[in-house]
Amino acid sequence: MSTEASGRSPRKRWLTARRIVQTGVLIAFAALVVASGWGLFGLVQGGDDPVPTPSDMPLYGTLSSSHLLGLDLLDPYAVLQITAASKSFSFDWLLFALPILVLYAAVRGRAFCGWVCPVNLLLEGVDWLRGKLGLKVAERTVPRHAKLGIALAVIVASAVTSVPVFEAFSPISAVNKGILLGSVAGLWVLVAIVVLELFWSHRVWCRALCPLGGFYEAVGRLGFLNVRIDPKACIHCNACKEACLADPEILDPILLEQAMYVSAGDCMVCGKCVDSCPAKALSIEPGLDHYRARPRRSR
Amino acid sequence: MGIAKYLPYAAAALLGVQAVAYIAHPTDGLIRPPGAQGEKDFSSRCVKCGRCIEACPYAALVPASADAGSAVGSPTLDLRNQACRLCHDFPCAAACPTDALRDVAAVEDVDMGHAVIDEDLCIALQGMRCEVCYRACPLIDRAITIDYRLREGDSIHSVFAPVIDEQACVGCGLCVERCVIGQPEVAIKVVRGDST
Repeated sequence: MSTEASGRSPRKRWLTARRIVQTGVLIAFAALVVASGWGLFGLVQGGDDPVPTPSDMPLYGTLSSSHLLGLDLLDPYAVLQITAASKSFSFDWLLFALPILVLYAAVRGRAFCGWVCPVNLLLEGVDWLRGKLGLKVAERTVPRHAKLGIALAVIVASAVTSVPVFEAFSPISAVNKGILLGSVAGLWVLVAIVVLELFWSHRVWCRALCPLGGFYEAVGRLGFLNVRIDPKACIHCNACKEACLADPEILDPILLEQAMYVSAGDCMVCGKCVDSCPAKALSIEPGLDHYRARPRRSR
Repeated sequence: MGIAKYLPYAAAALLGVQAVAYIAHPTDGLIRPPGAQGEKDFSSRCVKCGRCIEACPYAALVPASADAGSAVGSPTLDLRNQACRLCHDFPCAAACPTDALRDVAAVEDVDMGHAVIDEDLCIALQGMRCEVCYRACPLIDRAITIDYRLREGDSIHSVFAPVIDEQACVGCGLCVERCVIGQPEVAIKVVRGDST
């Protein structure tokens, strides 16, 4: 039990759940590569005889595409890129991307960012480190909707160059495929982002620049899980805005009592606002009420 | 603090340099797994998911290194280290979710490139009996044949010259892996059919 004044101590319920999922995804992929007898970071040497492979496991692949218990999964944003780059389309691509789209549309579009993406996990660590080092950086240097434009620009660039552009730069690959395959794709981008977030702008990659985040923001209003406010309990301390992993401005409508739910496509349902609220005014509620709840004018 | 002020610009410059390097860098040198239908087709569909790499029972597929330009992380082979064994069921192509690898039912459908012999380095062409590439070839007597002929200016000794049939050779690279000449470079290499 916390010895701090009751009600003021931040809870960590959602944070704990999120860390379990984030690291669980990282570990699941990696553990099965190791279980198949291969090393991580591409450390495997073949010989003249065939050896067991990760593809024999119930789950293998990476976040771009994986195979889970007989089900093919494919990153829907990668599908958009290869459709543009190859100027062709396969029904299979849609079929493989569908479970991913259904999952995130059911939870919340950017739940991928908050709960799965290893770069977000890493950058949360960078943000923590920046705080420890006492480095001060600017807030909101790039508007959060910029990533919608970047996501679209990547698709256009993929069509022009005939190469799926984000897959060549993706820092998510640098972490995910670096660990699993020893791929160095996106490594320099990852280094650049870490430098930018340490010395220039607070969480600028996830909030404003990442094309994949932009894609999920575009479908981000879909979802059964939503942050709800109890306006009577709110004490307007702004602790939630300080905690928000996405842009704090997405909380304004509920704090100004114009809405009951956070509806912005940018919300990752990370639960940091819920955990941070000293008045327990915020909660994550399942359901479809947020589609019905009409914006309320302030009193 | 003086240096810290410039670090963001350095990071931005790093991104810019990488973008330019990607655009400028050709990917012609990379040998692709079975089922690739030419580099342009392949690179437009490959999302670098690594499933072909994780499906190869000989661990012959590796992600392309940082000097591969925009193809970094895409599957390629280091033939000298580990050549393609041309599995009868092509698990690499079967694992591909985006059809970057497709349409391979038999060895004859594979077109990773074709072998080229360095005539200055090949010891067989200098009169020693080697035949290592010939014996290593899974398409023996089709992709590589031995041209048995008298040595030039020598009426007693013969040359057992390996000859590549570029049409029959699928570019698996077993000859490259096994070639006994490693210095100054391997006496046989695989070049891609579509590379210039």
